[in-house]
Amino acid sequence: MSATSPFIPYISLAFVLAVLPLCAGEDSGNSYEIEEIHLPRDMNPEISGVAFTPGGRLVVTNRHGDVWFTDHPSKGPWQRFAFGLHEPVGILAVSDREIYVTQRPELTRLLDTDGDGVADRYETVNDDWCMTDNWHEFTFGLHRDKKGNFLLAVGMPDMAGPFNPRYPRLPLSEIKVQKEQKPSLGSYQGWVLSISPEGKMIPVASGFRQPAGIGISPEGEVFVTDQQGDYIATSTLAHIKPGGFYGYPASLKWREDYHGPIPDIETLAAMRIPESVSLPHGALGGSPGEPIWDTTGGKFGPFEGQVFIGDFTKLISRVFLEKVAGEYQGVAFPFIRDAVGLEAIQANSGANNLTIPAGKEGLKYFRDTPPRSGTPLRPGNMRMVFSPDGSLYSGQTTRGWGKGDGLQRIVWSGRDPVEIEAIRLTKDGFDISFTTEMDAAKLAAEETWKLSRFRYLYLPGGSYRVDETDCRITSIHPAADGRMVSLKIEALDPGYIYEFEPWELVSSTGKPVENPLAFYTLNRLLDGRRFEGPLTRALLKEKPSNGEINLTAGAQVYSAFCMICHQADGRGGALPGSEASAGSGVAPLAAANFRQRGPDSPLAKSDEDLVRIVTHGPEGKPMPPFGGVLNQEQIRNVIAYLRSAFGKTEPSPEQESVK
Amino acid sequence: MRLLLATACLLIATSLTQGEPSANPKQRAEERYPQVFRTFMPEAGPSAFAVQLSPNLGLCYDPLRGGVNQIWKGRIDLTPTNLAKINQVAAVPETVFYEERLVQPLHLGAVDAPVERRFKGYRYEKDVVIFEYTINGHLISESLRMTSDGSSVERIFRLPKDGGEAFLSVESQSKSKVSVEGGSERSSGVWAFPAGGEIRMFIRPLDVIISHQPVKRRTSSPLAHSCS
Repeated sequence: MSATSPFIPYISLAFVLAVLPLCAGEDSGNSYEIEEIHLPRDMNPEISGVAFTPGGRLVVTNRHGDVWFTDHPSKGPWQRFAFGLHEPVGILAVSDREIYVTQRPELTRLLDTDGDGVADRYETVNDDWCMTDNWHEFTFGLHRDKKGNFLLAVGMPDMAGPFNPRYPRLPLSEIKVQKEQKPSLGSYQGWVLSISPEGKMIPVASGFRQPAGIGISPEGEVFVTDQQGDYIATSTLAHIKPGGFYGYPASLKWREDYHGPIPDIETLAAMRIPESVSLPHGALGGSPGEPIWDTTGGKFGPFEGQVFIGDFTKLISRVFLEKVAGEYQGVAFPFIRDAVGLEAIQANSGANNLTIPAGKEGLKYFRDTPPRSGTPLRPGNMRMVFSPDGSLYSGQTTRGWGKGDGLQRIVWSGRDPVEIEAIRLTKDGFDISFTTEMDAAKLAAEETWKLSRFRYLYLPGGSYRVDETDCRITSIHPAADGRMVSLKIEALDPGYIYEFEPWELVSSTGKPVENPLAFYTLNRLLDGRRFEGPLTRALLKEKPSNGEINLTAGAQVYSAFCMICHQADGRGGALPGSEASAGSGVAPLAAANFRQRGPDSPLAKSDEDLVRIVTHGPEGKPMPPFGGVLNQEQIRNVIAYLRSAFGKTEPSPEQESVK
Repeated sequence: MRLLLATACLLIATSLTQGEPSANPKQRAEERYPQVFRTFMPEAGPSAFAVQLSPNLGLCYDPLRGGVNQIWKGRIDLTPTNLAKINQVAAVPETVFYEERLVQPLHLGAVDAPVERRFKGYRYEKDVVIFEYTINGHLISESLRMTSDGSSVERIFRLPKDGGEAFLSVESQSKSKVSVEGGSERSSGVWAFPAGGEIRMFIRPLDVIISHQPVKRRTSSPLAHSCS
């Protein structure tokens, strides 16, 4: 119970009126501001679904299975509409009295039949997919197409946790299609599903590893994000076609034309539909959530029609899609991100370390980007929605992988951001447009345009970047109004991701580009030509290692990838999230202690054993394999760093006394 | 400097007005028992139900196996499944006085007829929760409540008119007394019921009477952990 003086609103108003003149004329601040939405104390803040009713009521759901609503997000009050759902990860509000949620076991219709603001009916709309008790089987959603069909996606189990084969919802099969680490234990894990308004389920597309975000474009096209790991070299935004296979083999066994395991990776590669847009791991997060389209009519700034994708890290990306030779492809940018760089990572120790970059090539982005002023973006941005007033709400859940849950709102301040508005493919290069007039000299300068390209391979262990080369720009033609530039490229080939890094570019008033980083996924040229080369091996030879150990590089790898669990002092301990169960009788998961000594200690193992563990992951433990994340040189460096930093034997007191 | 001052004043004003808004009790509906939580339950199919019929009486309803797996005195603890990254099953109190293990104890048409059971949802009515499912396409509703004297669990199955005779296998219990009404016992533990009828089942612990606590208004679920 809060004791609030009735005079406080008047005092506050007086403050605001007093300071307004002081602010007049100041041209500062962010183009986009982040506001905290305060949640009631008795609401679990792990927000896993966010939506608005047609009447403008904000509705959220959370990990504990509640559904809450409010008519006034900035001040409340909130009211609980439903409870007891099993980890809902998607919500769709039809009206104040009818709400749909995707929870683990089913698509559920919640109805408030008596109008008291509380659901009294929980109707199963459909549950025609298999389910076990594995912890990692999430059912992602939720959107509706123009025909009223519900679109949702079913994720994969994770064998870091057990499942009980005695109690599945059938059918169940542990047979692998190839070498996938996440088996599709049951139908239709790894699929996108459509469910008719009458409750009939239609499997739509397969080949997903962890399709945590599903969205529908204003044109009614379905897009899904998938999360990187084995086979899925980097996270993706894919345009969904009925019957399509999108790369993760496990789910293929639930197709009607499946006849048994597929040992040949080339066969799978030929079946796979490439993503529309790659979200390069590290630079653009690690685990994307829901894609949503800006249909605010300009209320959210100059990005109408573009896609916004929240990420598990402290990042929201922006995507411009275009149709080239009949297929969607496009460019991805960071939109809002927290401070990037080694210093920022080291400042956020342990479980709070969800600051990217992390992941493949993440070290490349260790340049220190200054943090935003004002409220920082939290991690866990898995569900987002635009409100009727044009602001962007981000529901945040880290679900035990870290800390930082809640609900934030991103508001366009009305100031023009200095950003690349879009990048469009031309017949011999790219047209780059901007949100504001740019500095003419910088725009035309060759040194402004650092452009390179790379691609990922399609392999069971995942892939880091291969065939990475700088691109030679043959001509630069700025538009007269300073809002566009055309670049011609010497070798414009399909099958590559083109990376733009105009770090020195500034606007005509001298302001730097807020996010001078872009990745264009070039699947097709304008004439329809596609990549004809191998998808499972590189074309260029990797730069050979000189065999020398670099402890500094090893320390960087440790900071980026290992420290979140093993801690800065190498002592490990409870994994992020698991310490919350302390006192519940549940043993927390623990990371290895590199300071431990003795024959069973981690560093008593040989270098070869440690390389194998880091590459493939330790058996029966939750540590993921890093073989697709780090190359062998990086792994050797980090092992050398472990031995250097934590492996020295500290003399015992007895030894000290002998001395 | 002016900007700094302005920002400071705005922050003060904002903090005075925001506080920690919590739900307005006047706008919250009365929370009452039963309370149903879908979660990971021990020795149950995935996504079974923890049902608290009162603060001191709960059960596990398993829509996959088909029935009430356990009934206990006391309150279930959802902390292990709510907080852990790799979820654990909810913690059932040790005071279990009723257990079912038979897979698909209810058959329609014949005592050994195959059962294709599909869960259809549940609804709350006054002091009762009603689960709905189909067996071989025929709709059945099953209501669960604590009897008004607080002594027993009452299960009432409403059978379809077009599903034929119904057969329910009732397992013997060592810690509770089970009584069945609405049909006849065909063989040991196997009861038959007419189509369109009701199965009324009462389960009462043998040792102590369940303490009957009046339902009271609450501002949050007793099972949800504190989020302060």
